[in-house]
Amino acid sequence: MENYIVEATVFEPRVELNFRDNKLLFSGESRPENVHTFYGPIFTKIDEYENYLKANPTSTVECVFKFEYFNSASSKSILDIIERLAKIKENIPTVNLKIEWYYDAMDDDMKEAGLEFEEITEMKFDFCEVI
Amino acid sequence: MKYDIKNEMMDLLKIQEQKPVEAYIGPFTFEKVNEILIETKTFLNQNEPDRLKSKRVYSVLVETMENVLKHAKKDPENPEAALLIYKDDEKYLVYVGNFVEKEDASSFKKRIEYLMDKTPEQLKELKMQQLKEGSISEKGGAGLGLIDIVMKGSNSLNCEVKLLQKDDCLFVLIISVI
Repeated sequence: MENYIVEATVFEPRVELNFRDNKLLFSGESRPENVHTFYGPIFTKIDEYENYLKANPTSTVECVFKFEYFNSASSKSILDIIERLAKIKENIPTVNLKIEWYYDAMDDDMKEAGLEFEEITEMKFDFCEVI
Repeated sequence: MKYDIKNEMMDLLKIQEQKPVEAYIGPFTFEKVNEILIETKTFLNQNEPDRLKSKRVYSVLVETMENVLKHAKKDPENPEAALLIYKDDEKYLVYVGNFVEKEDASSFKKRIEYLMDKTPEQLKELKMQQLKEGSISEKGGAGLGLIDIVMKGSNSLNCEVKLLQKDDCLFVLIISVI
């Protein structure tokens, strides 16, 4: 399956969906002009990834979130991504899904956002404080 | 009828002429909003030692200006919106004004009053519920913007509405970040 990479801009995050290595990364700032246009293709890729994993079993999938900032519209899309990952874990129980949530040591709001996503999706996050 | 948004805002808010941290009056487009956000972020990075406060001011700005982009009345005669940010001791005051339909002003005002009546715990509950059950509208909103502004804006969201002519209103959001 082809990897999917989006370079960061000042208002869009860097997205690295490295399907061959089973490593997914989202980093930077997210306040795209149109959340549907930006996140829509990512949802499609992750849905395709589920089928790819069924045909190509792997043990560990790592997903790293290193956001500096995201707006409220993006937060709904980020939740959608985590819910899609949770669905993969549910449908393919052999997959060990690791979610890392990075936040700046002073940024209580970013840590709180991670805790909220963890609570809603009932997924276990590893929280990584950046000093 | 064409209005002078700066004079209308100054008159409505009784703002004395003082030097704002950031001021913009003109049409709000995504490109313009982006430019203002980059400028303000640079100012905050250079001048605000409290990084959490700096981020909250930035966050409030993003949400308020996106709100204007999504909901401002499309009136070719009055395409302008206004943004003013003042720093008063440790507090930042953000004013964002734009023209809206009278009906929209009234529903925004009610929504703000409803949110301001909530405790931080109730706001969090509302946010979680909207995250879980809400969907993203065609305009790209997730119904979370105002909740986020109240939560990040030191629970101090307020608004002033001035009825101009017929159904035209000047609507000004006022947020302080402490």
